[in-house]
Amino acid sequence: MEIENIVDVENLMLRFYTYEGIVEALDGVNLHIKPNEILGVVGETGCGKSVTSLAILGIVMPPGRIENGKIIINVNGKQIDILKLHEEAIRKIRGKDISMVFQEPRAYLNPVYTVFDQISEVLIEHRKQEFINRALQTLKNQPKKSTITNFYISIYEKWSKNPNSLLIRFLSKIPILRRFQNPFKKELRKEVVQLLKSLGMADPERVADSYPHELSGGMAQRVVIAMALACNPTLLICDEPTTNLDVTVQAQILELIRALRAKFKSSILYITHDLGVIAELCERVAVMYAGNVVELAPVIELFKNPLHPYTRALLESIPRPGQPFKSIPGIVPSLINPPKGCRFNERCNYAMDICYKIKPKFIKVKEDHFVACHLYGE
Amino acid sequence: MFSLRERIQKWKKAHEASIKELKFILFRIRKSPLSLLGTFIIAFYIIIAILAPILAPPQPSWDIFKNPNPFIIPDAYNSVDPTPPSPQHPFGITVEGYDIYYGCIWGTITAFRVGVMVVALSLIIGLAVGIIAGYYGGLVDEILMRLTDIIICFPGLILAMAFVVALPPALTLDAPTILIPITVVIALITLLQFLKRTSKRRAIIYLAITLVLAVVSALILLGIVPKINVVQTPLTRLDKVLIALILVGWPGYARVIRGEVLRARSEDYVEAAKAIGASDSRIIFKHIVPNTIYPILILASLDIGSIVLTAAALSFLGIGAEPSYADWGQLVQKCEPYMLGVDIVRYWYIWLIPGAFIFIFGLGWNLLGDAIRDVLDPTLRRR
Amino acid sequence: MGLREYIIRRIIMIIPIIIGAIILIFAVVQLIPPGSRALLYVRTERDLQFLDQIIKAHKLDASPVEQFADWLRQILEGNFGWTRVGRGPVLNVMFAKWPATIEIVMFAAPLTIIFGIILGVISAVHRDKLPDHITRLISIAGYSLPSFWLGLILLSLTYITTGTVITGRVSNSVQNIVKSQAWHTYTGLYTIDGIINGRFDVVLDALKHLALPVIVITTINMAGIIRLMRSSMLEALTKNYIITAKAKGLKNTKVINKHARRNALIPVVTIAGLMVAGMLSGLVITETVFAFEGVGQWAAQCATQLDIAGVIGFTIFTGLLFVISNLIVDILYAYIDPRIRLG
Repeated sequence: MEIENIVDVENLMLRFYTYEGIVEALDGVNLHIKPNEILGVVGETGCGKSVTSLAILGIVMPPGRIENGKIIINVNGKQIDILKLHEEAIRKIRGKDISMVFQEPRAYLNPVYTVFDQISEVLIEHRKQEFINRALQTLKNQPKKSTITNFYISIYEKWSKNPNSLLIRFLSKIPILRRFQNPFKKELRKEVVQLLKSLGMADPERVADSYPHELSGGMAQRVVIAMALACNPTLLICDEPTTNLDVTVQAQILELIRALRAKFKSSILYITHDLGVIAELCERVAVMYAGNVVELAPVIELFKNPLHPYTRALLESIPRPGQPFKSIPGIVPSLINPPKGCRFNERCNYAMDICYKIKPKFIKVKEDHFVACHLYGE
Repeated sequence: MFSLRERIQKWKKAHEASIKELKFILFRIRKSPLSLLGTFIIAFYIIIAILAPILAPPQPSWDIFKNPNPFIIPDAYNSVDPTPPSPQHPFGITVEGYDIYYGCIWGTITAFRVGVMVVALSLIIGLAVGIIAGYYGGLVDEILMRLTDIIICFPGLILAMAFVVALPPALTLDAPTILIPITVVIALITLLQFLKRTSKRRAIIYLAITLVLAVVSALILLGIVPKINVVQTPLTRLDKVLIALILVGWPGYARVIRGEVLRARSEDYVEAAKAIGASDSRIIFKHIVPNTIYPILILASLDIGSIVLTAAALSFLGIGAEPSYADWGQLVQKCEPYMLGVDIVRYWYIWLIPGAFIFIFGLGWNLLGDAIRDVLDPTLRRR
Repeated sequence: MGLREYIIRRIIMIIPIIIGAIILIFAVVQLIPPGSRALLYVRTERDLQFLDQIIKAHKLDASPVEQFADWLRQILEGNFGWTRVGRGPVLNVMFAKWPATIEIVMFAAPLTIIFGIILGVISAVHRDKLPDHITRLISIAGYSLPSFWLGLILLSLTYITTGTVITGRVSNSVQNIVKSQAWHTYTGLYTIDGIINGRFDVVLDALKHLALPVIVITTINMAGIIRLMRSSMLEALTKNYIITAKAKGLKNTKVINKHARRNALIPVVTIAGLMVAGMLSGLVITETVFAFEGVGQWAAQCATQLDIAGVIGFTIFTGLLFVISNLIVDILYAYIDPRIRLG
């Protein structure tokens, strides 16, 4: 039985329309992520890794525009093409089924709101009903009920039936009256603290009340991860989450991610330019260059048997003690007027005539090993 | 050695970045309808200013006596009441018999004169102060910035009012007034020499000069030595307005350019220039200035709109141009006797038309200025 | 460093500026011939006849250095001279007229800020589209308008539509009420006092007369706030935490209003304090046009009639006001944004 992929990206094309010209950022990206696996995406700066992940989330901002392709995600047993959804529908998926962890955590947290505010925001957006019910339950379970408690119970019953009622929303804006939200907020707080604790925070209560600039890099990153995991997403996208952290913290975070994958059974798309992290963390890996996925294979297979010339050059350029540095000659082509044919043609040692004319297709060469190169295939 | 074409190409290459910048600005202007409107308005006024002698020829024949100065509005009639527009006097006549049309047309030239002169002179002073303060830093910076802060701590129009009221009818530059600024400048230079640790001899010479000047100034201030008048020129009322606006305006530019110079000073190319032993003035003029002043020059020239507005306000209050001068604010001021009553509507042409000239002038400059500010502000630039 | 240290540091920095400002004003005063300068030392009406003696007594035709100490002492005693226009000592006249001006600012300032923020957000969110162009046109037209011209237009329009010209603080009939014995003055503000006195006809009348000046001041100053809010909002919208907010699946309006706006408001709210002091310049003209008996109108008349004491006194006071509001604005900024306090 074929297990459906969590995400299937087919031939994704994305352009940025800027003053300097049209940037062909993504030129037919293909990748797929299986359930409960960690897929690494590796490539140089500017190769399109981050943009791909933003596209999966559906937050490509103008002047960028998706021109072509499909992004099919498998959520709750249903297969949906994100690119065909309208904003309302995608919003329900964002943050709940697919969520993202970013590179520089403190820049990605709003400096004027506390950690609790920001994490509970996700919970309120996607799991509001659940927490209203929890609060209701807690209120009902109280042995001695005062009049206020009874009053609250009646409010919460109404609220539970209609979470978005206008009356409730109106009341929550009035200073003294909005105290009725306290049981609700208490439930949220319990969840947030629990979440922070499960991420290894020593003093979760204090962290919850802190502002982002009061946190260290590692703590801020955990907060961002907590925000992403708050709703048990099926897919977690990590965009170079440890690049700006020092190595010890990096190791902790990686360990954390592995543990979380085991616990929540989500898939992870891990973007990085660090081959070492790929080797340690990921099960399969996609190599990207200048807006294309050039190779996709299980990690061990890739390291043992790199097929694409770029992958080979990358692996060869890993510094080894006692040996001179080997870099890839040339520079990444400008994406405003990209070269015809394969974009790696200028720098490839194995370039043939056809590489300058026709773009290589992304094909399956071996079991679970895909390449886009004219050396393979017809 | 180099042909003209080669020279032009070399210049283009050297200023490649600035040219690209300029092209981008022009692109943004073309794209925004508001800034296009502003450009047209400004062009319209420029045309009026150039064609003024043709549009409203100075008419000595109207006058009882010949009028050599075209900026004095001719007396058409000595009528007691203002007269509404008529074919001979398209915008009407004010109470003392001044032709409003004439005043508005020649007022355009006045407006440009005031705007350009104020902006140019306050820019020169502001740039000089700001560059010196920013580049040398330290005590010099502190002193100059305190001076700037002192002027900025008053609202613009109000300080300008104070200056215009206080300035004497004739500018007398007597000994203390000239000596004190010279002393201060030389004292600052001395300070610089000490701070930079140049040759001892130079520093001591400057110090000696400073001391001599300081002693003489002190003597004069204390009243021991009599004051000697060096220069005496009469100041027209419009001159006073110009001086007041310049004095109020330069600190703004000084602050801005100082910020830019501070930023540029920490750039690597300045360190490199210093490392190869370039002198201070060379670094300033060849490196820092070209990289910082262009945006400021452009933004400053767009201040002409608000300068003219302020000058008009001063004229409206009655402390601006002389009563017969061709100045928009002056014309509006003539409605003053009627302001509190019904006549303000009856004699609408006295204030509505010149006021419209002021408004649209300011509008044009501000529209263009807003668009360019949108471009030159680094955080908001390319999308 | 904590908030307290920051406040103390800022206050210390202000002192040399105040001293320098006084010296500057003194230098300006020196330009005036001694005869007129004598007015700065007059205390009572009787002194006006003894100007020569005043000139001798304060050595007004001698050296500036001697005069400075003397003049400073005068200022510190509270004697800013005598204003011909106001027919009284400068300080007393100014304080008597302040409530009128404050009344205008009281209404204009909140309106300016609220409208400015709303329009600024609209302008930023719909950048380069029609709402943006319209809002920018409104705001640029707003501050290109000469305040006297706008005032005169409004006056004319009210005459055309209602048949009366509305000038001054209150109409003549109400003027009698206010001057009568039955009226108790608490704040000097006709609107507040009217409520306290229970005379709502006074309140209504005062509001009717306040409407036009407030409209003029609001229109002209609103533009500055709109512009600032727009650029502040645009900058906030480029920040990374906006991407996070979107990635959480929040509604776009929530992203803008909750996340971007709160950050964008920080510089605007503090600039608003400065703006209030800046309104004074516009008020000089506006009060003149509407014959509104406030400090601005008095200052304009002093300038026209070369009433030196009045002009100098007014300048010193507005300078002081400006400096103090700058100080308050800086402290407020440090209070709101904890990151600033770190120096």
